[in-house]
Amino acid sequence: MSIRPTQQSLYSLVTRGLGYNLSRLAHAQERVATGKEILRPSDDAVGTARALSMRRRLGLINRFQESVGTTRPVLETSTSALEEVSLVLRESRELMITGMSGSLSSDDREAIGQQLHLLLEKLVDVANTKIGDRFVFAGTETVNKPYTITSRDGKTAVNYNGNDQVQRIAVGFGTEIPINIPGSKVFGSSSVESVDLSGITGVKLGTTANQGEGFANLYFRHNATTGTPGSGITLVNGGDDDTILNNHSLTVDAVAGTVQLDDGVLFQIPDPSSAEYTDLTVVNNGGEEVHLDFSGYTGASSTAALFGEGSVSINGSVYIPIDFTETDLELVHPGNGTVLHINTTEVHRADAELVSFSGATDIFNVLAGAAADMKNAAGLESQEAVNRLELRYDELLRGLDQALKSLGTLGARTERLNSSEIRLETTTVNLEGLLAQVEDVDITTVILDMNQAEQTLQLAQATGSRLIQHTLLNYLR
Amino acid sequence: MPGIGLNTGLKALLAAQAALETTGHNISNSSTPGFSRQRLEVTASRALLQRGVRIGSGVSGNTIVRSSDALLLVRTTKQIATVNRLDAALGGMTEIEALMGEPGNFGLSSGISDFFGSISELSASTEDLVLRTGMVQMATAMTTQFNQLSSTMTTVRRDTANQVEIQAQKVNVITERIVMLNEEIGKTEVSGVPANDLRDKREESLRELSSYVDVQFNEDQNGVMRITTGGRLMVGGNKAFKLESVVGVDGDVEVFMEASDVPVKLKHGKIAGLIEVGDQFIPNLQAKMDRLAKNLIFEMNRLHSTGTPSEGNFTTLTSSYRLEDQDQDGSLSDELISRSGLPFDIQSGELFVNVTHRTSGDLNSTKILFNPNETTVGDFLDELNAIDGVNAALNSFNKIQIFADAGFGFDFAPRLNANPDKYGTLGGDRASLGAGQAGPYSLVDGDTMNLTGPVSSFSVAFNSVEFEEMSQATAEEMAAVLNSNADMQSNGLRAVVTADRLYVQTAATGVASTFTLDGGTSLAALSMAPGSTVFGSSTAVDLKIGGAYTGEGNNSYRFVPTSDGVIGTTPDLEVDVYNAGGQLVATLDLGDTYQPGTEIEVAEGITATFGFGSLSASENDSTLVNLIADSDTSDVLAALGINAIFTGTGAADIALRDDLVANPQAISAGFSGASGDNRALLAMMGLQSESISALDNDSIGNFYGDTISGVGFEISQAGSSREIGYFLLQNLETRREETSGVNVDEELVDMVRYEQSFNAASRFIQVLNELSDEILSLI
Repeated sequence: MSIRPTQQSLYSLVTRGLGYNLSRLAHAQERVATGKEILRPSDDAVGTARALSMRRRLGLINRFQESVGTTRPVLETSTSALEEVSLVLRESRELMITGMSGSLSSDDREAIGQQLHLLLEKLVDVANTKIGDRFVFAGTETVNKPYTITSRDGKTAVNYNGNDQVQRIAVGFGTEIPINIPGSKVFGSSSVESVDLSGITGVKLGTTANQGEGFANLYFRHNATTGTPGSGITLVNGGDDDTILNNHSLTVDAVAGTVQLDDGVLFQIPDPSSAEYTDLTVVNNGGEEVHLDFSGYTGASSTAALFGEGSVSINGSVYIPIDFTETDLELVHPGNGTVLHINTTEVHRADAELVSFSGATDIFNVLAGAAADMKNAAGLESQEAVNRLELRYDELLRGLDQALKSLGTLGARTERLNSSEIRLETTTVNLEGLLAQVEDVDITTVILDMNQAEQTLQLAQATGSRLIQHTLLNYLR
Repeated sequence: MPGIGLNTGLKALLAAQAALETTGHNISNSSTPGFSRQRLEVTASRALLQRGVRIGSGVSGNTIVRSSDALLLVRTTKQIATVNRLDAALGGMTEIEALMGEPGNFGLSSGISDFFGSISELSASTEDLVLRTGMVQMATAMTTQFNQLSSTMTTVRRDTANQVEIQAQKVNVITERIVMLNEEIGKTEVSGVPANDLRDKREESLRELSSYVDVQFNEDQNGVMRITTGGRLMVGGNKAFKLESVVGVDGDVEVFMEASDVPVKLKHGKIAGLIEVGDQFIPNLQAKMDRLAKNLIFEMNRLHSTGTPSEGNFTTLTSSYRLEDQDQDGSLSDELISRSGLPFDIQSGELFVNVTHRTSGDLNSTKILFNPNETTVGDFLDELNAIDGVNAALNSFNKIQIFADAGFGFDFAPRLNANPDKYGTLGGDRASLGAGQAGPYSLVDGDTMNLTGPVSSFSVAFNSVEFEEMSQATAEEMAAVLNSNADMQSNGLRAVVTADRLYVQTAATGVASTFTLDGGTSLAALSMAPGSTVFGSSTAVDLKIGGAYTGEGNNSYRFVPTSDGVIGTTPDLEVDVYNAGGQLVATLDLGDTYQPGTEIEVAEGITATFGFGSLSASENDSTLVNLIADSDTSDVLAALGINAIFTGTGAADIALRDDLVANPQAISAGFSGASGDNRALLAMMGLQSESISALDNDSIGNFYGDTISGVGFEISQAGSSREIGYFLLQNLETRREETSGVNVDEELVDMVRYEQSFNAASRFIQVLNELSDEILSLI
């Protein structure tokens, strides 16, 4: 303390003391009023940096939480859409099983075909499920309707306008969750497994690999029948209406009065007065037929070799003549790049053969094909139609599997989303706590501080007022 | 006798009166700033010899002295200067601190977070136009914050410069006053009388002066004070040297002494504090903010430039930065693009330009190589113009403008070419024969290649004029020679290059297409066997690449069959896949167990699907797939500002690109133009937590946080220094008060004392008077 205090130094001492305590009080008040420990960086430089960094992280986490919020409905919508898809496919499966039963009339089949067509339309509707502005099965082409259905000449085609891209969103630091399954993966082809033939023409697969998508029609055309039936019998129209291909034998048994193609059913030689006498259709077990004219029938028994010349094409594009010794004939469809290798040695009948590149077809195609087959648009015989339906049925099952797998994938993603959400919430709570520790005022401490400052101020005022009152002047007179 | 006595009494009266007056002076100035307590110096007068005794002749009080401590003054002025420097500096700094508004919800920190947040929101639903507009608004809000911070800092800096000028004028007033006081003190004290009050005034002026500048001072024998500051004379004798402040072109303030062109280095005082804020604190902070903004612009532009907007690819783009003709020769083409006045650096690297045919969707990806030490503006334009469907030119503002031809669109996205085998060099349907190794090939002048086509047998010669370096002949150069050969053309043959390998092919496709490589001297260098006849085939192998590349950095996969055979048929038919480094990354089994058209995994997220067809190792089949993680490793797009998101180069001019404001759909969200593609946005989001080497390996947010905390640290340090300074100053003031201050009580005591002295002296005179009267009555 000063040895020689003066009035000036006393005054400044008192004002200084009052000022100091008042500013302490004001600072405490400021902290209480704002609830913040750090009001400006200079209050606590290190704390500021920490607070800023934590706020940044919190901001990010909030965004992640928002993303989780936007993603959840997308996943949920996709899931319920896929559940509906599996229902539709199950229903289609039941219908196809019914339709394949041989006891149905063609009218019944047509009705089933109609129903299948309705299911197809429903499936397309589901595939075009939309949430907000976003089509969930369109890959990343989310604003374009992914599936369009077109029907022309009784044929139905469903086209995919989306892409195969997966959209990801960030739901954590370095955590991205895919939120969509492109329609091409849900409804599209799974993986190419093999090539199946419906197998009515006797064609077999060649030795070399094949390539193609979905279904293809292999058309075997009968061009001409060569060879002469024995016993004076002739071919109607020079054999133009026949369906035989390759080597066949025609046996006339004059004793029994029958005619037989290969090992097929015995046909009675018709009465000359009947219309059939000039055009008898002889069918063998495989369903091939020859048309015979008995006008010149000599009444003798005979066995003659007939040969059906033919040509083959995929989907009716380019027909190439069949050399019935070919074991690996390459057929190329220039339009879609389908390549098929066939063995023609056992081909015996002109007809349309359905080729299925199994696993390589989309479910819409299967349904559209099944509906068409049920209506028998191609005018097939019932066995052939059933064969075709069986091929389609296998594909339908694959499609159903595919849809269920996608459902599983979505389930796993929802799980990931849930765990991310929980993690985000925990982090938020932790960070907010930490931030409060750094940034927020501990009210008790501040109030204590404030009380202390207040008391000191009052004391200083009291002592100060006493101090500056005293002067010798009071006592001099 | 009474005469002497009377005189003694008179002296006592006068002394007491003078002492009383001094006390009165003290009391009246008890609260005058700078006043020093004065007191009368009294001594006993010389004794006179009277009647053999020496009798004292009373008191003599002839000088009034002030009590002051010269050393204390030196220390006080120093402390005043220190405290005032800190005070002034803190004033500016806290203004800036308040301006930044941190930590809070309205500072730039939230601005940056909100911006990245808006990217995140948009990435979750890219097709939402509202969110796109939201991102535009957030970006604009952030850039505005940058701009405002920068411009306000500039304003504060200008204000600081103005204050320096005003304070320099105040200094000049004070020094003038000190010169006048010097003169008066000299005049007064020449007669030996101390000029107490003038000295007090001078000391007070000195203290005031030291609040502006740090001063050193001394006094000569005549009481004239010389003052220097920063080692330069400010007041010398009767001359005051004026201070002048000058604002330099860079905005720095410098202070000059009159008639000198060397700036004065002030260490303390208000002016030094202001200069500290104006020349160091603010510019440093501005430099950091500029660095932050610059890197934000660059890094964001790097990520945005390779994206594509939801509208699909571009038909025209213009760079945002101007190129400058550095060598002033009137031509820009000869400038190195890395040294043509662009604000950002260009790396040695590659740029992929994708040109898509709008109707067919055919994609053509071209790689442009950059070497910052070689690639000129002209080279870049030439390379762009060489790409089919794209044209590039400099516009009248010296900005690069890229146009697509009608029916084409271009972009720079890291796209995966789904159909990489454009020449059919991997099982195509042309007759095709490749070199056994990749170029360059070591040819000698006049080397030949002899071929037999459907029309004729002929020989093609390779001459040195057609090559840059014959011993390092590239496949492209050889292909150019072959393709310009008339015999090649008439035989329907062509040469193509895949993965630096030379291939000779028929132009026609199908099983009928054929040619024979008869021989020639070049074959050894090409590792080709003479006498091979090759045929085309009816089906071309359809190679489709799918998936998404997950590898780090750009790479390429080269597909090479290990034997001859038919896909899906020939047992053990395999295709080896090599990366750009020549390492085997996968062997694909395409033998009899493979079903053509089935997708197979290659590596790093890439899948391949082989269609039906035959492959030939003996004909050196191969093809190359470019795998792009970063389609612009040269950073040339960001450096030029092509398809940028931000323009500008620093905090003052950072802005969202104009046309993005008008058309938020032009924000490049993805890499494909699909409405739900958010890959570019995800990359931009990642930037928030990415450490950037140009920002001391800090992330954007952290760098700003560090800057803010640095400001806070500097301020709190200056604040506590000022506290300590004040405390010391007050201590010194108290010490001064101890020596020079007026204690009124003390003065009152003195007053009573001198009053009593005066009374006593009067009494003494009265006694003497009575004595005289006694004597006189005797007469």
